[in-house]
Order: sequence, then structure tokens, then C-alpha cells
Amino acid sequence: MGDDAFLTGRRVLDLADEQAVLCGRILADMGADVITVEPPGGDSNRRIGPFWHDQPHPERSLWWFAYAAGKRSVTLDLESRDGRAIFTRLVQSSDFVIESFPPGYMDGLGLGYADLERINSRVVLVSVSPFGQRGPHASYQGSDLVGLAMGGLMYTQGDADRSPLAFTAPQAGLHGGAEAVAGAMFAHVHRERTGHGQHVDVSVQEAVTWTLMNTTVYWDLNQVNIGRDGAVKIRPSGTTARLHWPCKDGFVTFGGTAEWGGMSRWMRDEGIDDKILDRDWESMDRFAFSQEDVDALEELARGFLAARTAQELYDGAVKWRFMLYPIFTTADLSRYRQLQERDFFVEIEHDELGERLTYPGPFLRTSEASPRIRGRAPLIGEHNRQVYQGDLGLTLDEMRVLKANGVI
Amino acid sequence: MSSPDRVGSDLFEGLKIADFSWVGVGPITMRYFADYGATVVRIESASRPDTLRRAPPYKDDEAGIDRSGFFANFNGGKYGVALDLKHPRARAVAERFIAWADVVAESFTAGVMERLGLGYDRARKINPGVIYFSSTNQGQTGPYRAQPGFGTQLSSLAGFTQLVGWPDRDPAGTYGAYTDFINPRYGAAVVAAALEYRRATGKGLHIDLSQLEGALQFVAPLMLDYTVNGRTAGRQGNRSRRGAPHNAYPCKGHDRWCVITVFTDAHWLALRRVMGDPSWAAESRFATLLGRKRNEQELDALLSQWTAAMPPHEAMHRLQKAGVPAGVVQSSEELFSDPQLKAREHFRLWDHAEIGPHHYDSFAFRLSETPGSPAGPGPCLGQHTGVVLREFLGYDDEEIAQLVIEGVLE
Repeated sequence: MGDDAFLTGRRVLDLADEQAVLCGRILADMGADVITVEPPGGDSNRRIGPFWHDQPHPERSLWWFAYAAGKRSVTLDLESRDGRAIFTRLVQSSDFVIESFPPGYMDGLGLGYADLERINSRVVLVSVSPFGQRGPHASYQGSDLVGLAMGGLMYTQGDADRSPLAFTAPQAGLHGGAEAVAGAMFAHVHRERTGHGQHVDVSVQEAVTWTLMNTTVYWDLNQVNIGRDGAVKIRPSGTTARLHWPCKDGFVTFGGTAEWGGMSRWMRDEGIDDKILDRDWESMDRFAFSQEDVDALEELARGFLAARTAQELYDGAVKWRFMLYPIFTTADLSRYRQLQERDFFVEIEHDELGERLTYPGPFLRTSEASPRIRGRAPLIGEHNRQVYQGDLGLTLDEMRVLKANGVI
Repeated sequence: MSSPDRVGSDLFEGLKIADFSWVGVGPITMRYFADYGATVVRIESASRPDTLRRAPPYKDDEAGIDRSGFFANFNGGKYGVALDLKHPRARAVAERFIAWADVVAESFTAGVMERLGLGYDRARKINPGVIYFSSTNQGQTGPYRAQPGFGTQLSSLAGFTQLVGWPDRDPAGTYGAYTDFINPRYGAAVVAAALEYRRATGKGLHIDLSQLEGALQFVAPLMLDYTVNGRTAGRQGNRSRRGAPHNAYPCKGHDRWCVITVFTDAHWLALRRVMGDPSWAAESRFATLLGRKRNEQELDALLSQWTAAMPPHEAMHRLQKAGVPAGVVQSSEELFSDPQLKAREHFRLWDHAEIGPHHYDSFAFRLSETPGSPAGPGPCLGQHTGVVLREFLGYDDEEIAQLVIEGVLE
């Protein structure tokens, strides 16, 4: 193969649900042959919306499109003996297996790490679960909200007078999946050097805990629990300051007294001459503001921001060198010049729909072997023949028998 | 040489990392390798220290360059060197680090390392196999490449601020630099992949991590919803089209909450059982998913009456034992006593030279054959300057003294 990629020639068997579906997608972007192994009837990820033209259908899920892009698909009933026998043969030629079943389920099928190791000692088994493979909560069920709640993130999100909040779209499992890639690649390095695979045990809860920034440290050092405070944030100095602001046509993020150096230069240039702007912004201690100072500055900011569009404000921030960013919607992002000029968006042919769809591009780029999307997500069992007849050498007649018996 | 207070895995033993990066993504990415046995040297400037050294929380709530636990956590197990990169003689020292390293990491605004004469093109001349990791808000190219920003701002640009909040209110947004905690996972994966690639091909490479592009993977289905269906994603509280009840419910105690998520009929029947099957729950309007979605507001109110009578942990345990996905909205304090995180030894205690004993977060995977964990405390500014220059770069004491006198080393 002439494809210069990090994982050219590597095979991945992907059994993951939403807790780890991103892992295989990233490995596919890095050039691996990722075969998603779907139960007959289709992968659970196919039931997650939104859907193409709002048509709920397993071949129309945009979640699936996004996170199965570049993968191949076979169907296989792992709970049947024939299914397990076929899976065993696939493991013999695979480098990674990704799964997110309840801990112990794979062992129950005779496909736990000890079993896989006997079949192929080079294989890396990546297991992603809500809380990890062992421990008092290992058997507890997960969901996006459960992961974000138990990992501590929801405690910090939302308005103080209403409940804690998650996001509009699932996030916890994406953290699990992205973390799984790091674990998988660390195990890959070890395997390439020693010839031995290993078991990578990823906890979604723990992956979420990494998103808490400094809040666990706040408890550890100061016995302070950082709670949710919406658009108004409590500053280290003890003052409260607004971070997210309405502007003329949307919202912008502008916060922190450190940004007032640039903002005050811009305001003066626009003829605003308030004595609160008379400070040595560059050298003053950015934490030395009283609440009164902050309130006066915010009064000035409120009108200035409300009179300008998000784009005008962003342009101003670039010109005057300070941090103010628009609060983008997905529509704004699709039109964002920075992404367009970097050719981030990728058109993918969907022959089954007779359309080309525009996708966000790869997760990262490199000067050699750069990751890239390999193509659209597969249809259910689209590669059964390629894999079972081509790779494993099953006959057409055997395929028919397996199909008739619901194995594939 | 190894610092006396470092321990760790041998997965990356012998791997050398010159970490010029700062703040979030770069330092966290390189900490993965420290946890798994690499020698990571954090090269910092005292005249323009890492923003996180000046960000709380501090030991005893008292500011100090070596007192921030925020900085320490992201840099645990690394050596600390203080080098004034703006000094004209610093470049020669930086080049020695580049020649020494397998991996060079930086996260300055695009163009800064080039202006310092330490960009990738120069680095590969010094060290042809170098893996050069660059992390920026928006990438090495493009019209906004040089716009400075932290993850807090980038979380707004990448769409996340817009996606946390209530439909009837302005966005609430994330607490912190959310995107900073997505990207290190890719960074660690790709640096590891690049090491294998170099071993196989002999080639080094430049990694251009745009934190914006990495973060957008987490909203990719919503991006497609716009490009395919023309729908702009909005705020919807905790609602989901996939299930009901699906929310955070108030529990006994001050501002205590438990999330409950019901996706299947089996979940719903189990929830009813745990509640003792009150008459409202048996009403036919709640019997189907569509019915529960149609009457979701009332359903939430009725369920809240049940949860409000018990502490959140009791609600979670009772529901989980019956097979309903439920979880406490845990505070940071509770994470430290969470029995599951304890069982995984998530928080590891290290004795920091200035802060004293405090906790370091483990990453979220456990490797069965090559286990790793936080490998040591974060360094004080310049804590290992002398020993690193002597033992890693081969400077002698006289040269080091001269560099100190000239202000190159700080």
C-alpha cells in the first residue's frame, strides 16, 4: 500500500457503542483498517440522531456518519458459537479490539483479554466502560449525563438558580473514546517493541474528571467546591465578573481584567474617554480590582458590546490584540474563514444517498503521514463478503448458512 | 539520571522530551509521557512565566510562583528549567535541548518559535529525526493563526458555550477551558504514533494541533446537522430526544442533584419499581417514550418529588441496583471520596517542594502490562536547571555559572 499513514496495514475490530465510537474513527483517520463488528440489525450508534433529512433510520444517522467515517462493516452475532468462531479468526489478524460492553461481558463470551491473548498475543484490547473494569461501581450503568455528573463536570455547569447542566449533544463517551486512542497508542508502542499486546482499561468517569481544569485542585488545596455560576464567573480576587455577553447579533466571550489593556485602547480610539480607563493596564496587577472597579468597567463594556456585531468585535480584538471571541453556533463555524482557508471541511461522497456531504476534517495534522478522513461510514454489513469470503475464505454457501441462521 | 522523587513506568524509559509549551494542552500532553516513564524537561521563562503559575488555587490561598496547584498538576513528574528565551544567548542553549530531545513541544502563538529561531525547519536541521509538537488555538496557518487565546475563549469559538444552557436564557457555558481537555488525548496518541513511525521509517515530523479542529470532533454530528439539514444547534437544558426522564433531579440537602436517564421500557419499569410504583407512574400517558416526552415537564416535576426526599447517593445506589442509569452530580470534594476513583487510585499524592503533599490526577486509562501513574510533583521554577544542563546537555559548572551571570538561565 502506498498510503503513508501511521497505522497503514493495522487492523482494528471495533465493537464500541457511543462510549468509544470516536476511538475507531481516529484510528481510521490514522490509516488503520477499522472493521466495525455490528450485531445483526446494526450498531447501536446508528440509532443516535440527528438524522439525514430528519429520517430516523439506521443508514441515516449523522452521529454514525461522523464517527464511523472510514470504517468497514461486518455483521456478526457474538452470542452464537459460529459468530465467536468467526470473531476468533478475525482476532488472529488484528492489532486492536475496541469494546465498550459492561465489564465482564466479553469474558462471559470467552472473548476476554485472557482469551484474546491466547488467540493472538500481539492484540491490544481497548475496553471503555462507564467506571472502569473493576471497582465498586464497575457494574453501574452509564449514560452521557451519568458520566458528566459522576465525573464532576455538571457540578460546574449551569445557572445558579436552576439545575446543573450537560451539553446539547453527548460528550462523556467522546472523552472516553479520545482517551482510549491515547491508551491504545501507548499500548501499540509497547507491542511494536516487545511483540506483546495488553489490556487498556478506560473509565469514562475518569476521562470526564480530567475536564475539571483546576476545580479538584481547589478542593485539594483550599477546600473550596467550585459550583455553577452561568455567564458570570467568580474571579480569583473574589470579585465577580461577566464572561459571556450579548452583542448586537449574538454573544461574545470577553472576560478577565487582563483584557482591558487592549479594550481600553480601542475604546479611546473610538472616542470613549472615561476616567476609569486611565490606568497603566500593562503593568498593573490584574487581580487588584475592587468589585466597584469591575462594575464600572462592565457598565462601559455592556453598551460598547451591545452596539457591535460579533464579527466587528472579533476584528477589533484582533486589531487591538486582546482576547475577545465570538460565541459561535454550528452555522457560524461552517462559514468560519479560518477553517475554510485551512481546508478543514471535507466533502465525502455518499453514493447510497446520491449526495456529497460536508464533514469537519481530521482531528489533527502532521507534516508526514497526516490523518485524514478515509471515506463515508459503511452500510450495515457492507463488507461481509470482502471480509468473510475474501479474507477468511468462507464459501458463498457457508455465507448463506450463516445468514439464514442470523449469525451475519 | 533520575530525580530522587520520580517513579514510574518503563514504557517510555529513555524517551527525552524538551517541553517548551505552556498553560494547558502542551503541558498536559507531555505529562502523559512523564507518567509512563519519559524524561520530560519543562523549559520555562522566569520573566514571562507560565500563566498557570500565576493562577489559583495556591497553597494556603497565598499567591506565589511555585504555589499554584493548577500548574503543578499539569506538570507532575517533569524537570524544571528556567531559561530566558528572549535573551540573545538563550538560543544556543535551546538548540542543545532540541539536539538532545526525541520530542520537542511548544504551544506559543503561531510564528513565535520561528521568530526565536527555533521553529520546525531549524529544529530538524539540528535534529533530523525530531518529532516537533506544536499546539495552538487555531493552527499554524490561516488568517487567525496569530490570535492569542486560552481554552476558555476557544470553548466559545468551538461552539461549546452555545451548547450549555437553557432555551429561554443566554448561554451559560462551561466552567473552564473545556477544549484544553479534549486535545491532549489526541496529542498523546499522535506523538506515540509518530515515535513508532520514526522507528519504522527514520523520519521525524511536525505536528500541527489546532485545538479548534480537534475540539470540533466533539460536535461533528451537530456540524453535519447544519450542513445537511440546515439546523443550528441550540440550548436545551438536559433534554434528549433519546429518552425521558433525562435530567438532573433535586435531592435532599443543599443544592444536591442526581441525574436519571431512562432510555428503554426496561429502565422505565425498573424506575417505577424502585419508586414503589406510585399511581402517577402507572398512568398510561407515561407508559411509552412518546408519552413521557410529550408530558416531560410534568414527569420531571413528579419524579423530583420522589428524589427530593432522599440524599443523592441513596437515589443513585437504589436506581443503579435496579438497572437504571443514574449518578450523583458530584462536587470536587466528593471526587476525593468516590470509592470508584479510590479503587482506581485516581488521585496520587506527591510532596511538592513548596506546596507540600497534594494530589495529582491520573489519566483515564490503565495499562495491564506497562502501568503508569503521576510520576512526581510539579517542578518549582528552575528547580532542576543546573542538574539538567550538566547531566542531560553536558554543560560544565563553569559554563552554567556564566549563563547564570549573563541572565540566560534564571
